[in-house]
Amino acid sequence: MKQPMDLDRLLTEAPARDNAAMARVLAAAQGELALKRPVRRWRTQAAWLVAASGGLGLLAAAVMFAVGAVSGPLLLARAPLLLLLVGTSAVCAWGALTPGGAWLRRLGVGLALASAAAVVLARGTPHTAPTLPGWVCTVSHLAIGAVPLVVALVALRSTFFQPLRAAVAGLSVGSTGALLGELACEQDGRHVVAHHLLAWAVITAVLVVISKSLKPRSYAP
Amino acid sequence: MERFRDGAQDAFEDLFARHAGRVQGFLARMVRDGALAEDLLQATFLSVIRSRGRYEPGTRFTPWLMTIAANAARDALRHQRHVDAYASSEDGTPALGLGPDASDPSLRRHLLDALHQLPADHREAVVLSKVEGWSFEEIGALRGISAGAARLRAHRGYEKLRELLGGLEVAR
Repeated sequence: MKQPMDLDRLLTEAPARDNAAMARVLAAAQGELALKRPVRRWRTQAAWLVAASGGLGLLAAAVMFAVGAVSGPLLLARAPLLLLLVGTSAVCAWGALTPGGAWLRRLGVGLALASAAAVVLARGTPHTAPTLPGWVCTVSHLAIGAVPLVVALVALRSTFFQPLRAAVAGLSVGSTGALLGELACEQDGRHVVAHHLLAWAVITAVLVVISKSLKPRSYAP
Repeated sequence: MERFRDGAQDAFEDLFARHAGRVQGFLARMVRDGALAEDLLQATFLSVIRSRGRYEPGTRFTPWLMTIAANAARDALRHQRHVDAYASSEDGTPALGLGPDASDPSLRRHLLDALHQLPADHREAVVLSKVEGWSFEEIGALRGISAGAARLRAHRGYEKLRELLGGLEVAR
């Protein structure tokens, strides 16, 4: 006698074990263990990225203050925006590397959009004519992001590629240049959109593209 | 896993012995091709070693491990689709190699053939929910979708499986 098959039972039936394949995989894993690579904790990597992006921006601010390139009153006047940018950078860096925390990544994107709007709206009419062409700001923004970009790429290699994860890492990296721009540039909002926000977007896109094109080293969440 | 994360390398073999069979079963259902499944099993356990610093102490190890296996399978299937698309655009015929094998009459073979005809997202949802016992919330979190969308994927995949295997009967 025949009866319709039980699909659930068939699905849950354990397939035959391939012991030879298992032995080969175990041998490969033991080879990896024998390399004795150090354990990289995600919190340590996130802290490095926070230091490389927000920390580098703050260091640049301190150096500019020390050499007299920026005055105390200007630093105080811009302090709320600088804090917003450093906060955005830290949230984005942490969100990019935390194993879970999809909500933190969305918060990072929201904060980055708010920061971008704030840096544009906070600019008034410049009192002096620009002495340098606008592209200098774009290039400076991209150049100061080089170190955090490398740190972010190395850290992201220990996790499975996800576009949003890579994008918030890029936003964190790009915030360094935005912070520098707040101290070194006095042009109006249109200049900020055309030269600073563009550079921020470019550095984010570059990080996503490079991160996606690298061969995955790990599929961990 | 916490011992392994904290540096006890001998703990890895215990983890492997306990979980490798389950991961192998999951991957066999996901990719069908034996050699590819072995590569993915290796990629899964190498990821465990390389990314043990990403494991959160106090959380369940099995879902973390199966997430790694699911990510590896997803990446391989995406790559396979590109290869298949390239192959079929080159010679004008659909790519072969992973299709049903009519010479093997066993039910299991039919099931794997039918599973492989499902879209990868539906197959993953069916295997994770029906075989691995994941909740739709967990599947949704894995893929960044809502629990409702995960339920829909699993339901559609399951119904398609029923349709594909509808003509089969078992002898009693």
